[in-house]
Amino acid sequence: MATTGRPLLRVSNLNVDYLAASGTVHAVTDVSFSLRRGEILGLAGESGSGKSTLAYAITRLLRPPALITGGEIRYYPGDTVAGEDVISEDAMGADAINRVPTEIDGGSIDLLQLPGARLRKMRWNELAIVFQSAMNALNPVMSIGAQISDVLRAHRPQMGAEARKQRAVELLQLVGIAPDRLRSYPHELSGGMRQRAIIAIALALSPEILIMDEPTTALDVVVQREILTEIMRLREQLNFAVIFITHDLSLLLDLADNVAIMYAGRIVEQASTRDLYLHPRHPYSYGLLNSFPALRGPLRRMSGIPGSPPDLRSVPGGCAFHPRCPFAFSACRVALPALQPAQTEHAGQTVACHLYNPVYSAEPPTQNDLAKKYEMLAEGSAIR
Amino acid sequence: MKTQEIAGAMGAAPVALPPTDPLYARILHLLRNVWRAMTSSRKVAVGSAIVGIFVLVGLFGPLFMRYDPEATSNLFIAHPSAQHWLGTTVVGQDIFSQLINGTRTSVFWGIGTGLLVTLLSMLVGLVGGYFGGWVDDVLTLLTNVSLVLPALPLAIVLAAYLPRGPLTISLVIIFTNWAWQARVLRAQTLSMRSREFVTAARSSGEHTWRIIFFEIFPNEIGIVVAGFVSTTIYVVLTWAALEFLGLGDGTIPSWGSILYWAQQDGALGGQLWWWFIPPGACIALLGAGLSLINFGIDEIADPRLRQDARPRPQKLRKAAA
Amino acid sequence: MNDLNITVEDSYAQSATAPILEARHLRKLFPVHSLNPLGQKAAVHAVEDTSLILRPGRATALVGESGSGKTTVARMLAGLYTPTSGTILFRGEPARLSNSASLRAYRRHVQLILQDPFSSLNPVHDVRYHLARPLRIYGHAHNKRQETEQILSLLNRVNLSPAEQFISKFPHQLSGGQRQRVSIARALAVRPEVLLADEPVSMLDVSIRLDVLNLLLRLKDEERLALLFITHDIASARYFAEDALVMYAGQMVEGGPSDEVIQKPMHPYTRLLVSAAPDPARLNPDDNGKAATPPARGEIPSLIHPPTGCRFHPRCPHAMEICRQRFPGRTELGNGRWTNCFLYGDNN
Repeated sequence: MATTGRPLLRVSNLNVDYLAASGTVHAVTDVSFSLRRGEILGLAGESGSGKSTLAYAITRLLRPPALITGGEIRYYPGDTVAGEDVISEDAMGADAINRVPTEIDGGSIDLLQLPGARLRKMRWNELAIVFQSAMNALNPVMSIGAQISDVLRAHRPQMGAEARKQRAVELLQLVGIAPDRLRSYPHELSGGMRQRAIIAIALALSPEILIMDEPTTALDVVVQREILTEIMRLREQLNFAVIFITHDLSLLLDLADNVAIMYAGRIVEQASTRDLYLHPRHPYSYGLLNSFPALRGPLRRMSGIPGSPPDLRSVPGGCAFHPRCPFAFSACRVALPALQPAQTEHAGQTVACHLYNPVYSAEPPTQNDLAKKYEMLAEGSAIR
Repeated sequence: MKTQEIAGAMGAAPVALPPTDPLYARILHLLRNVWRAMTSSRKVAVGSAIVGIFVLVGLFGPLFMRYDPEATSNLFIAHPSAQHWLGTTVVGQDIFSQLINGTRTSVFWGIGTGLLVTLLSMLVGLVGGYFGGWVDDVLTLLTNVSLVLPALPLAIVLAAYLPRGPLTISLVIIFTNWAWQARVLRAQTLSMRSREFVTAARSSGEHTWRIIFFEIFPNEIGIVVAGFVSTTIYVVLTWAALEFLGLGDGTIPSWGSILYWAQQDGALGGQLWWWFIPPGACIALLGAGLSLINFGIDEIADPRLRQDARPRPQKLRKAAA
Repeated sequence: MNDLNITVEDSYAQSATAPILEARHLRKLFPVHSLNPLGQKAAVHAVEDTSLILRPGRATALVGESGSGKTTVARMLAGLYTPTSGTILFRGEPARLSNSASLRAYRRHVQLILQDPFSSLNPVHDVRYHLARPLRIYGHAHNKRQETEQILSLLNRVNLSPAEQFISKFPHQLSGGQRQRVSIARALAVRPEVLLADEPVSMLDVSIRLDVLNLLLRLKDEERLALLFITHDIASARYFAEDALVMYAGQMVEGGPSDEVIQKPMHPYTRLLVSAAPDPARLNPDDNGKAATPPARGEIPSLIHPPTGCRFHPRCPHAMEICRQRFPGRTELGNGRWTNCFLYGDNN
């Protein structure tokens, strides 16, 4: 596992709002997390959770009426290209002068304050993004080789045409596409291959961070599995960090090192994947994990979570989850829970829930308590 | 909260139904929506006001005419004055009265013809777009042929040969102008046809004609109304053109016929601006008003946009994108 | 506990009920228009020899990925496409789907629920209109009062309460889950015996999917509906349906009780599907168990020029010469399970 201790990206108290005539919608509220080199962080959430907005905010791709209204995003570039790359010698040398200089602000850069030219340099060199629908992200009238070349030409002006072609072939081989598809157009490729092409383009400049926004949603289960395996293999090889955004929590359990669960624009639980799977603390996390019918094991009646994700224009007061929460009590309606460690001995798993706050609740619920409550819900739905 | 009881075996037990609004309340609600939509966008408001003024003048103007527009007098080619607000023609007719009289013809025949063109193109577009197959092929052929024919020259030729009168001009304009909207609507209907709610309606057993007119068409009202407005602009202009060329019935007043007589009697050469500028200005103004309305039509028709008004752009407090 | 204790005996007992909807050897070809009028006529071979049986009170899952033909099968059963060959039998009689009147009569018994809640409702009509139309078309309501009464009752049945509030809402005012319930209510308004659900929850948020599935299960039990559940998610197929049928590239490859098909898949494609599905239970506390590499690679083939014989053979790790020559016949494996694979026999 290539997760070293040094942080790569630290997001602190990020707020993103959408301005509408009927009022301001808080798409992302007070989100903080950090990403280490080579770590795969999963961001899970349903509609209205703000996860995609968060991704766009980090890469500063938001357009009005979306507005970042607070917080900072600090990037710690480090001074070497970490890990073993497969890039060629020329590109390596060229890379050094194209890396964002480190002597700024004592080693870190606030992404939100970067002026245009430096932001442009930052993009794709350090930070790349893979969008949800590769079919839409690829230019239909250019071959994929040309699109890779385009990226290289934009950021590595000193690379010659031959070097670019070589790098393009390298990248395609890296993601498992035969080099003879260099001149294929997107519509000639299958869905899985297009997604791989997008990943190849994203990796063209050996970025440190790859943000992937639901990259496999439109793909079949088998292809999805292949792409995920590919991502993990590439991560081992190139040691980049990944922020993987999805609504499908079950994918993250297979893929991610750490998971942050978002609800109504806030992070409600953050933990290592194992911790989250073995003991989800937040009732929403439990309910979400419990929404996936098991492939094996005894068949039992399950229920999802009652109600539906809130409309961000009218978020419930206090804890946004309280109308749907089987454990809600009086404090949940009025007080907003802070993201705190669930157990003081184990700071790795943080949860934003009053059930774990000794001020409001004497005994935090055990896994059994959570299980029983949700079973009752399932029974209720069976009878109804 | 009212509860509902299931009808008993012995006839229907009284069922407490949610109150449905009476007809007048619903019409009022619709009108209020339209009013809100019209005033939400400045362009639409201004455009509607202009067209509204012309319609009012057309309806009630002739009640306020001071002179009989046909009556000649001894005051030939008089400049605008307190007596004759827009001066007189070469035979002493009051131009202002003529203008008001002509407004009625131009506005109502224009709108009426626009409506008929829209109806015809709607029928062709919807039917061809929905059914496809040979029906569509035949209708598309007719549409394409009609598009290729040059509209104005053909209109001139037809108007010249047919008996004079506003009905002729109306029919001629309809005949030469239905194709464009038909093509637009056909394209839209083709795309609508594969929408899931149409499939769902078919699967529910809905009758075909109901699918066309009650499922697909309501989604196209925006385009149809926008098309109607554009068509009407064109109709008004074409009408004036045909009249100006003398192909209308000169005795029936309209803006175009004023221009015809102005030209015949040498107003352009004699720089009698008060004769030919007012009708020209009216035509241009009506066209402008209709164009302004065109810009905001979509919002009125689409229920999704009814409640949420368009957000006003605010000054960015902090550079984000 | 809430175990759904379906034993094998129960399974047999229930399968003794007469089938209500049956498809026999359905085939569907979609002609592809080529520019050359004299050239060979190409076609998309969407469905090749599919047969299935639906019984009242039982749910059958049709599992497959994109291009498997499952949606085409559903649409043929719903009367939206005409099969190129094969028969559809309703209550043992061949269904007449030729003209609009007979089609409407057929749809009185067989209804379809579509996948996308965001486009399966007409944005210009409110909930009342959507539910009133089927009631009027099939004569379940003759006046406004009956209509409203039945609409409210339908809304309550699909758990859209308070019903009075929902009746005048427009689709854009409803959430995805609510819209899908309206679609279900619309299908129920017809009072069908068979419900075909084409990926009814794929486009809904994860936490509300089970709610909608549970609703369908409850309706199935209460009304003894025959359900066809089309999905690409085999875990939910197992949860929801008693029987499962697996399709690949237009061909049926395996079938049987869903639990068994998934726990002990026989056909190599089913195995691939099961291994590729995300399975949190794989996350063993002992090892850092990440996903195991699936046993076969490759993509779904083009259906215009599909592979000959068994269409899975280019990707199959066990492919034999005969697999390329022809498609295997059905081999019964006992317990109601069957598969079409030369590895298990060849019953042609």
